[in-house]
Amino acid sequence: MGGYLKVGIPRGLFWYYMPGGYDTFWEAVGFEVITSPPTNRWIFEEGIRSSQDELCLPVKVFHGHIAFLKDKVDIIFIPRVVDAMKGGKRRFGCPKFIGLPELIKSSISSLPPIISVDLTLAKDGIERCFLKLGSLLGIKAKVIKKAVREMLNLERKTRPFRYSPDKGYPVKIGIVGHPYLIYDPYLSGGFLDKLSSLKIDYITSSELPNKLIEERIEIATDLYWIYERELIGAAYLFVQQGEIDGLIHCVSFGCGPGSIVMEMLQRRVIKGKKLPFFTLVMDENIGEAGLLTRLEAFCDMVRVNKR
Amino acid sequence: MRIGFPHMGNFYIAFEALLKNLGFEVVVPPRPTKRSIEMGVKESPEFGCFPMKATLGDLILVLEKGVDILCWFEGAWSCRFGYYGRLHHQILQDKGYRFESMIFDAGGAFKALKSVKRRINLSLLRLGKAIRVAWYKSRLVHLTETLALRSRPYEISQKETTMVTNKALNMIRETDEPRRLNRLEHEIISSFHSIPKDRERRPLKIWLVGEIYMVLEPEANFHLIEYLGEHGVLVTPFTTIHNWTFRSIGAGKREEERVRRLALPYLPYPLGGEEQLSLGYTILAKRLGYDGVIHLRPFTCMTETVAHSILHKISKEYGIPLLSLSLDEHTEDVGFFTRIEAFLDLLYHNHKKKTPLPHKGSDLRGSLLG
Repeated sequence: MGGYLKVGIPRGLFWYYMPGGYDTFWEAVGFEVITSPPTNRWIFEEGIRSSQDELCLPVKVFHGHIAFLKDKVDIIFIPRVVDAMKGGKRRFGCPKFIGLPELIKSSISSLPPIISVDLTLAKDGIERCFLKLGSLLGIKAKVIKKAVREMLNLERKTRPFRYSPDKGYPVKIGIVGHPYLIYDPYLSGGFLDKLSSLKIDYITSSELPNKLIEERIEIATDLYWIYERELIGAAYLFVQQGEIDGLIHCVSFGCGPGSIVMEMLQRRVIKGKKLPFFTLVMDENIGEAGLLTRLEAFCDMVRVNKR
Repeated sequence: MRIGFPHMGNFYIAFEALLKNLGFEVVVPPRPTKRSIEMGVKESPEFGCFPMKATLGDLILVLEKGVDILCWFEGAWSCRFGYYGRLHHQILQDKGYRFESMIFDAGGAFKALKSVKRRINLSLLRLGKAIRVAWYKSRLVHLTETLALRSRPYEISQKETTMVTNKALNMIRETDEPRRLNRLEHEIISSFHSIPKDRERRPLKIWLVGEIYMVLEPEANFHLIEYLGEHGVLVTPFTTIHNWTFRSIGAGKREEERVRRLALPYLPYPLGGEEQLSLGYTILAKRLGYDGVIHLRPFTCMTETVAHSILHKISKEYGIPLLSLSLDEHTEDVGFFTRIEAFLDLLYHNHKKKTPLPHKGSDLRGSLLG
């Protein structure tokens, strides 16, 4: 196995939309894969140090993951999410996703080569995007096609984050937020576990199938960001199903689309619904005690409201 | 039908003419001030960018004067700008104001026309005249702005160019006849020619790039363009109101495409704002022998934040000095101008041949000492 090239996959941002998917792809085309560990203190601080001040927290931490990988691998893989067809129109990724490879190249020095695949899903299928990558690396089309199939199969089969089983607690909360924020144990301060320990059931926006979400989006809130559509649609779904007793919007400081989503949630989705709503803003100075206090306060409110 | 819209630089001159000639009664808000910006900040989302907050303040002032329709432009790749119309109008409606919203989407000239026609009796003749007058006025504003940029660093008595500019803009705003507008062109050119100038000076040359509102709205950047000109710097903003407004029908399009191509190796996809232009013009500035680049962006701007990281790399690679400033409602003019002055000093140090103006800068110190 010694002769294989090592490809590094940072565990941040896009990784959380298809956990393990890209690993499968690279293994299937014959590379050795090194995925960076879940965010830890070193990665966090390295990311904050090496990135620019005004970026949002997940992007900053992403820098840390790259810094972790850069001496251990031969190439680093960063896909670029450009656009996709959603709701019959062309929708875009967040600007920071579109410019991610360049952002990384300009802020971290002495990097190994960065391989990016442009996911222009509005125009091409996912297979075609990866075929372009294959021709760049000199890999046969057949191998790429098989690898893409394997990747998609894995995604379909496992979906590791979908469905956190209810534990039968009396109160259930809906959580709307990007998976790379709420499922990253360090970034989110483990607040999902904290909810469990407060005897609260939760359902997150990432647990819902995409098709269901798309149906719910109304014209007024028809966002043109791929990932933010999920959040708005999920919030509509939560509210309409009426199974939840409170809604948490989890957003990182400096998240551009987040500011719009926050307003739309407040002004359109939950307006006049008497649903407790709470925006949890994550930044690099968040303390565990502060987070817990706010969560407890919110949960108490939800319980009182339910009675 | 009373109609209102927010400010951006001298945009209001042409747009007012367009709407007036279509038959609307136009309410132009007062220029943005600290008060109007504060009003906007109070109502808008915390992370929204500065242009959003400032324009919301404008809209509130317009509504206080009483309007039936609010106007807005939308359309962008993936910049937040595309939602600001809807969001503004939602915020204002939640606040209790009653109005109709008229939102022009990008590329939908026909749709826009339809929504105008629904509200007002529109004949083809009238439409033709309205567009013609607006186009003339926009071009004249463009001319005035360009002449002012070229004459300001050479003027002998300070502020004279600014005075001439203001007079010219007033004239453009008040004239409504297409034929008289044509004649105005010569008047404006000759009035700029008659400003006494010292052509011996060799001013520093600086390119101004960044987010469009921050670059073109003087109240957002503390009249930076005037300030630089009066301190003997030949400053070139990367675009003008005219080019921005008529971009969709081809004004300045060839240059823009060329500049976007320059930026491609550093950013292969547009992000929706002016980020590729910021990068491209920085490279162009070096090629054209400019001395430095100033990059302005609102705090938390999505696209310019990405550009900012890459700009530093370009600045290093091409060896062109760069000052990147992030502005918002909390920025104070003293801190801002201190950094600009320091940057200018550095550039003068780089270019010993360029002559700094005899230091006039008592304005800042005066305000500090009271």
